Amino acid sequence: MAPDETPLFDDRSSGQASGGSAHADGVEIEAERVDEGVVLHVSGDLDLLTTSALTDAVAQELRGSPAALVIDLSGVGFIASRGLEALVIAHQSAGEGVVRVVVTTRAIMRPLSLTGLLGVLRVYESVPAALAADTEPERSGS
Amino acid sequence: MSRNLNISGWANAEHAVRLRHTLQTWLDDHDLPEELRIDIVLATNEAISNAVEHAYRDQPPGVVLLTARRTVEHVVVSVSDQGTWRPPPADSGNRGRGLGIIRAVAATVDVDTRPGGTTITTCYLTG
Repeated sequence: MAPDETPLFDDRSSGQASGGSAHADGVEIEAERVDEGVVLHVSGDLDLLTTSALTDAVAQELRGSPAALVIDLSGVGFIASRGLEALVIAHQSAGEGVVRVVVTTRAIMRPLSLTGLLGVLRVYESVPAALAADTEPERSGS
Repeated sequence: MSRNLNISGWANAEHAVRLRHTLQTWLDDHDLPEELRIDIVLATNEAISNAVEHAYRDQPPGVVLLTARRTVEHVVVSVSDQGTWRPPPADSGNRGRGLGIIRAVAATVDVDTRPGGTTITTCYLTG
């Protein structure tokens, strides 16, 4: 090992998957009811630890069969493949054009682009644009 | 120039987050373009997640080691575990996406799989 190795984190007990550590709230999701449907404002990071919160929120909202479910990622600083997968599942499990994703930052646009999901998901540059859209595909920044 | 990064955590989701944040801080301390920092964090997180989710599947949880160093022209990041490498299945939706991100952003990717563990080393051009 290199001479400057930093020791292991020493709080192994707090790292167990079942533990309700403070890290578990690395994401916040706020549901806003609007005339067109529901907007989920997501802030924080979407990773292994937090993505299930988005999956749960999406499933709950889709049970109400909204005309539009906008997932607003403006406040998300990081999205892992697990988070991307949650977006794909949301898109696939709702009716055509219902799930719309708002992306305003490079940190989120980059992984969507790298994985080809810009051609799969309905991506918009603002919440109003997402709500105003009909079921025709549209790309942010076009 | 800050020193090399060399840090380890347990192979669980919470330590994966801490390793990612530590890398982010290390990258922010270097004079690197935002695009490159985004790519390095994206790819490294996928390598860490791979270790967390797959390396110790049938054994007690082990460690994940993260190292990063900056040279004049490169940033080299490696993620190691002491578990067992499992090749992604052919229809690996999400895991395939994670490895795809790594291969898409790194200039070179080396996956070293041995009985004693796996090391994924990625290299990025700074210029």
